[in-house]
Amino acid sequence: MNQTKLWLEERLGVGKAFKAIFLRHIPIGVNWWYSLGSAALFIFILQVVTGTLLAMNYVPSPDHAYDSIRYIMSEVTSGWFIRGLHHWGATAMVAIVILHLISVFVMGAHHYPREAIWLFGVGLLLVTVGFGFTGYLLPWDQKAYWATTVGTNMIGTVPGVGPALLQLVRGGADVGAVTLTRFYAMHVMLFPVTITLLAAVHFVLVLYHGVSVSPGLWHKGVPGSETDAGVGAKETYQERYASFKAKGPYFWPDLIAEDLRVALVLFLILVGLSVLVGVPLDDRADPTDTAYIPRPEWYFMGLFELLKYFPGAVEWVGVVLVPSLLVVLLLATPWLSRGTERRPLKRPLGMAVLSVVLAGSVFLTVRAYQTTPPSVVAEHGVVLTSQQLRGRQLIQQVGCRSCHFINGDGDTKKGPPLDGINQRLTAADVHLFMENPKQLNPVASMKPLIPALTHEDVEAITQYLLTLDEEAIQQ
Amino acid sequence: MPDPHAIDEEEGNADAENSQHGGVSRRIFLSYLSMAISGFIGVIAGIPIVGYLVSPLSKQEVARWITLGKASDFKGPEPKFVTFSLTRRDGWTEVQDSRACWVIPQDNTTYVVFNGKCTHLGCAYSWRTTGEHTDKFFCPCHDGVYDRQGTVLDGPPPRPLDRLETKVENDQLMVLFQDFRLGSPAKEPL
Repeated sequence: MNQTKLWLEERLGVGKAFKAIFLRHIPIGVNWWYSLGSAALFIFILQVVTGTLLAMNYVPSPDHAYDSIRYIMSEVTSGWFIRGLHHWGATAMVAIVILHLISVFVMGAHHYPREAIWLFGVGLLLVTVGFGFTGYLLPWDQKAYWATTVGTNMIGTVPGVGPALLQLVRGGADVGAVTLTRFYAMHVMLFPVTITLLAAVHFVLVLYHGVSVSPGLWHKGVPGSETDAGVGAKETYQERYASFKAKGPYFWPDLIAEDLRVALVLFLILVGLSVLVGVPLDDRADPTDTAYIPRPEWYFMGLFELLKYFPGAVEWVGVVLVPSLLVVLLLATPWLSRGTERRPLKRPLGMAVLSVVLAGSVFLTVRAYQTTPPSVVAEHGVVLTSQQLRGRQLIQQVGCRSCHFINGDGDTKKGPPLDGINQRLTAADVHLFMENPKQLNPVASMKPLIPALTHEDVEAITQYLLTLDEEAIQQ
Repeated sequence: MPDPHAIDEEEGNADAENSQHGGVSRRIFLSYLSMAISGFIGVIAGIPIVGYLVSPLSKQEVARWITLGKASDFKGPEPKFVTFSLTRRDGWTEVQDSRACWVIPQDNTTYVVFNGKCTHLGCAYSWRTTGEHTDKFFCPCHDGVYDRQGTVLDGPPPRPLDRLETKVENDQLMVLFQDFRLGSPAKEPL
């Protein structure tokens, strides 16, 4: 054993590398709030694993994308769970990266000598958003199709080059097969490579410069020898930083145990969301559906709302100018905010700018949700009630279409088609059948929906099914 | 000026810290805690991941009755080659697979039907009417030879040709079509 260890050590130097990376002091005062970066890394790893698994059963083509997702959700063992983790992981990743950025800015951790870490971090944020934008087209459901149609149309409003850009992004005039393969290629090839390279540099730089000391402590000095000597001077920075490190805990296992505790909490939240809330899968994308109300993911809702304030010819201001200015502002932050003061309360200008940007984003996002019309969806001339809408959604979640043909889509062989069921059965019978199929048909192979669903759910599905008029659908 | 990026070489530092607390040191506790958390996440995520990966194992092909043609058309001593297509679910799509059988009429009412795959590695074999293997089934991949009853005469096939269950209904010859594990002495349905 020792021989093997020695042989490996001499050749690979794992022990030395481990020592150099993990057995190092970190400054005093570091706590769980410093785990946001590692939390983002944890979720990224989770996304790589779940994404690879999803790709094994996914086809990026309009003909098959939706069916392959449905296959993952209903037939592949724990496919619904893997997709749940990937879906909620994406949301968590965006949220954590934004939180990480805000935290770093508030703590003035982007100051000398960590400016480059900040810049690579901004790059990571942009790629993360790119992942989100390209990722939610892939299921090829209504939300995917329409949100991408609107999202890409925004690019087309740029004066001059807009139409050409739009054509380039979509790979054609409309969102279609080529758009899907493009987005897929970016989502699974370009972005993963880019984010890995950026994250590697980001991480190595964090190792090189060390974790920043919390602003309050930094200005006060190491407990016992409080002094503000050299707080702002570059010449004495290293000496001062070293004094904080000398008394601090170790990266391994002290900080890593902290990181992992945060990762565990996050993981449990993601598992909880995947199991309890699940992942929505809308109806199959239908470019002719005029009743669908497209809304993007939450992190694009603010931008979506912004467009309402810049109508017509100046639309590009909201679409391109404001977001671009925000990115420029982020990239320029190390130069705009580079005083020697790191404590947030003593940086009123910086905090004011941050507050304005945050308040604006929150306001726009909240407004966007408030002004989303109640999802009144008209199908074949019937305006659905909220109960019927719930039923429509449940049919997606339960995966009724793996056996039944419903509203012009689904399996045509395994179970009876349900369009036009209002001609054959009463509401009470439909409900009763789903509750316990054998009661009405002793040879029925369908499993009872109760207790997996409540009676309320079953009634919602019943009410939706009864709206499906066969003739109207066939038109 | 001390080098801020110097590696902490002195393990003594850590030991000194450990001894202050007594019992299991804080650092050892934390490293076990870290491993426990990683292990927990690994297991909770790992079980569904393994399930997902091995999901194809839970899919079994079912034997289906296939109509080969009019029973009275299968006459005479010569084995007859019949091809047909099978609709099979392949993931989220349905595909048409073409398959083949050899029908050997026994008398006017009974038939022996073999799956068209050589039991060695699944190549298509054929009935020879000329040459070295006249009146024998011959598989060109690795020179497997079977007689009219499907018994192996020569070559690498590990078992006789796979005989399928047959029935005649309304003068239609039907066969319970099934594929079997290749290259094994035992005839195990897939």
